[in-house]
Amino acid sequence: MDHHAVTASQPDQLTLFRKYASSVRRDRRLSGTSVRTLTLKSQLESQDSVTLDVRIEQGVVTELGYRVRACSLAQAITGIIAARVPGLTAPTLLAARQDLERILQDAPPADSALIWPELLVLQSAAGMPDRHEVALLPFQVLQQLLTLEENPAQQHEQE
Amino acid sequence: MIKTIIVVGGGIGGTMTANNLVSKLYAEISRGEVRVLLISNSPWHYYKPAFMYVAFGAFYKEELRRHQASLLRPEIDFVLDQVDNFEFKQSRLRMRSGATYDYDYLVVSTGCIPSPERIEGLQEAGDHFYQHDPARKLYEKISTIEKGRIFIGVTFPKTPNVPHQCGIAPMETTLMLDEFLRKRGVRDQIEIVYTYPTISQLVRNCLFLQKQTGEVLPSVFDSKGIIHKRSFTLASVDPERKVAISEEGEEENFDILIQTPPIRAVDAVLNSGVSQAPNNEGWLPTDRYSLQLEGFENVFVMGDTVDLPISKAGGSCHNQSPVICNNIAGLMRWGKTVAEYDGKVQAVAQMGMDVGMPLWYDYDVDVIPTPATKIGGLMRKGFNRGVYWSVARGLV
Repeated sequence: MDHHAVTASQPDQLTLFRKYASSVRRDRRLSGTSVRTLTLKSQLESQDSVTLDVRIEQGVVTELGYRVRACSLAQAITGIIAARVPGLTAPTLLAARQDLERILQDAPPADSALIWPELLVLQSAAGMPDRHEVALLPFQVLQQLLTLEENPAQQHEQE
Repeated sequence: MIKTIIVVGGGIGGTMTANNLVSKLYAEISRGEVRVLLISNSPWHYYKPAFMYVAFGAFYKEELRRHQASLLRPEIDFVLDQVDNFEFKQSRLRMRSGATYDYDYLVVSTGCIPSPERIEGLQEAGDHFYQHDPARKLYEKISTIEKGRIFIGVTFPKTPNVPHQCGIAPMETTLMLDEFLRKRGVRDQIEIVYTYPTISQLVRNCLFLQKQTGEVLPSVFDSKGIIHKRSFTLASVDPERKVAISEEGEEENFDILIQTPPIRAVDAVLNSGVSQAPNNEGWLPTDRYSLQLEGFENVFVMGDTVDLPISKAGGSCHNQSPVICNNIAGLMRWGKTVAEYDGKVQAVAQMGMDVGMPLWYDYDVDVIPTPATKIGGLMRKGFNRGVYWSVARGLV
């Protein structure tokens, strides 16, 4: 599959993709006792790393910090998630992740059914299955943080 | 008490930054409040981009080097020694000679090392032009080959978004090779195949990813009969069979294999324990804007040693150097950094032996390709033969 041809035919998506990726280039870290932090690394040789800091109030993400040392896919996804905060909840995040998984399988839902239409910027990555793990990494980090919040008996802070 | 600024590395980044620091802090230096040291393990400064020309017999060793001390302002103390250990927590350097140096501010500009041995068979069967002796060896091969297949490939670091040395060099040399072989009258008997690895597609901020350049290059290659293909990520080389084997499962035969090799940081940086880069590549975690080493306010990183998504090239150093000088001055004078790097890189790409294409880009804006012209070629020649040394001296 010629990815260059794909991206060339979708200039708006490429521009948007880069916009989201560049939005998290500058680290934004949160501090304070109410902040939870989690870092996950990909199992790939590139060891892509995503760190998220969150403030969560009653199951709703109210503030997000990030440090992304990962490929452009994870940068763009983190940028998309960051733009959806505050107000993000676990069910919304799960639905968006499921949409992304379908996009990466080259079987995207209809535009009108997408919970976050901007996820389509990742459509060109469908032909890169080796990198899908990294694309999903920001979702994985935030989902684990929300789970930890719901189950405070689990570890309060990981990094 | 006198403040000590140490610059480690005698390449283009370290040399211009030491000179620029003296310009920036001349008042403090004149009053005896600041001193600047440059440490290099070589008495020579090499114009590294000229190694590419060595591979075409167009540059010779004595033309591409100067005595390091001759490039430095007289206010700079030049130390010929090698750092064995960076002790960032103690703000101290331990040297090969046994000496130690304490610093108030440090600039790490130690470059990178081509490491073909990291791919099985590449050291034995491959060639590259990123150092003088390998470039001479390559010249001997391409100046005598009469027929066959020259296979060109690129290896990226494993660290996400970190590109290989000088993003455009593989394309430059491909076009130069075409012209070189035409002048020799053997081009019709030699197939040139230019390849690019899968990993660079979409997820890497590198030149072939850059949309507009990517759209132009295939037609340029087509017009010269250069075969080009994507998705060839070199996994190993079989020197006996003269075959390059890709991660994607393909095999390609060659008579000459020109491969941009894996790269890594120098040993002292690798051993500092600060790098988080995978594959033991050693890139230092660098703030994308202030260029400070993460976790160490008084240490700055530049050039090939950074983990930034920016070409490892002199054109990057040229834009990083003033940021670092301003930030060191800001910390000394006001207690805070004052400048930010925007990812800018500029160069004049050699698009054949005599034509050039000025280019620039930054974190957000890709290269906008312009037609390669002889005027561009003159700019590049002027830089190669003279302007570079003024850049190193901090004059341009």
